[in-house]
Amino acid sequence: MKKTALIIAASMCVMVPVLARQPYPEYPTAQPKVRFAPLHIYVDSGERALGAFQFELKAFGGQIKIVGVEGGEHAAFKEPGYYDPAALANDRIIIAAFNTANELPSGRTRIATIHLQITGRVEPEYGLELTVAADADGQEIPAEITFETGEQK
Amino acid sequence: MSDTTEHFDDEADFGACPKLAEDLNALFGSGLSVPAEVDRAVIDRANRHFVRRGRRRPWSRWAASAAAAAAVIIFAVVLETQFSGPSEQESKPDQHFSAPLAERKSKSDQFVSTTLVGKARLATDIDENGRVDILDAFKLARHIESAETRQAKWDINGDGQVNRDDVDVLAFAAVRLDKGV
Amino acid sequence: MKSDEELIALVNDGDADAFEALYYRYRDWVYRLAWRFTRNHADALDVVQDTFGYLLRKFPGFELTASMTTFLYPVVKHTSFAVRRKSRRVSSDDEVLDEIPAPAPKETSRRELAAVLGVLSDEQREVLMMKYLDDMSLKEIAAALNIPIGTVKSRLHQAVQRLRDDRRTRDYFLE
Repeated sequence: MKKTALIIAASMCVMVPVLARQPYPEYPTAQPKVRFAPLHIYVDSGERALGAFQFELKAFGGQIKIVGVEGGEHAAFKEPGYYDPAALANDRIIIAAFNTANELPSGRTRIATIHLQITGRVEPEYGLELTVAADADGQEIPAEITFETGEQK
Repeated sequence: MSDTTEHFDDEADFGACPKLAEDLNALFGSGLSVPAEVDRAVIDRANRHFVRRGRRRPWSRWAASAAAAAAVIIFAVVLETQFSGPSEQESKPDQHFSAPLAERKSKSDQFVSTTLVGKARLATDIDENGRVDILDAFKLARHIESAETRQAKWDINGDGQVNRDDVDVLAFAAVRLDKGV
Repeated sequence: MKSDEELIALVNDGDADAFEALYYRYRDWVYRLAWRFTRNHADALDVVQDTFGYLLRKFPGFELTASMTTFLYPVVKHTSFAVRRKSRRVSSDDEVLDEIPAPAPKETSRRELAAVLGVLSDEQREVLMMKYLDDMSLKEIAAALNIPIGTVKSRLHQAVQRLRDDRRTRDYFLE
């Protein structure tokens, strides 16, 4: 009897620390974090006035959804451009705009801000392509398109 | 995440204090109301509807036919712009700001070959450079504003007029997500 | 006061006054919902007219198989998107949330509510709005969205749980 009690006591000494090191069972965690991020799109048309533009944006990586589109900084492109409504809730969008007025921007100007909903921690990457840019007469001009992230416009 | 487990079996389980509705209304309400002109418009329309009820309207059949024809034209335009490629003319040489997506050769030419669609193709490619993009809309808008002679082929939506609506059809065709990709 | 069903029966018999009564009963509800989807007064008014124009064309022969709000909700939603497409852009509740102006001090709780709503999914936010803002029952929401009632409960449960878990909004659910 004494021997049996000794074995049980010894077993407890060995088992308790082992069991104590078992990880806690995993409970479902909260849903992946959702955050919203603006993406500011700029076109630099140099010295030429910008009368029209069309570009395509594709977001890669993670679960990304386009949830809103804003216009640009110059009065000529203040209103959001044309886009396919199907782009909302999608990760790809084509935006285009033109203005036949005389007052047009030149140099580097913000032409749009795209609001994205990002689920999870993955930092998205963006593919941005200027399809076409044109001057006030509708003539194609060389221009550079870039983007910036963050709240500041 | 809450560590409480709750079951919501009926309406009562979703009870919230009235301030929630009040605050939601403040956030999502316009603060404006429907003006009397709109009331009159809706009610006048209803009165006309019930007065006319049962009366045969000879134009309705014509209108339905016209609407069907317009729908066919719009469908053809949309179909074509969706699949438009540089098949009618040679593409311009690539420049660093050019349009690889828009210029990508469409696989749809084999499907789209009716006369109607052929006309639509010519109409949508205003600058006749072999692709439909925002510059087509831009150029049409400039034509319209300059009050130059309006060509019938620019009546993109087939409503008998060349105006801003046609410009919009072109612009939307240019930004469609499913075109040529 | 006549019920919706009684008014509809009268309209089916060609009674324009009954239609007018229905219009005034649901006009503000339709406008509020349309404004939420379009965020634009003029567009919302277009939606009001188009929605009641659609309803008008249902007569005679209209049978109400659910509540009026259940019937009207998808009509207003689809019409709003069509109107906004025509005026070049579509809005979402997210945009509304983005555009809420800086609040006065007493409006801080609303701003905080907006912030918490911003992290709900579109589906969760929609059923939350339908329940607490449009005052629709779970059954009506399910019918209007054409989804099972269990799905409505699940989405609403998750939305409410999120609001309850957040210290900024938990007071809305205190007994």
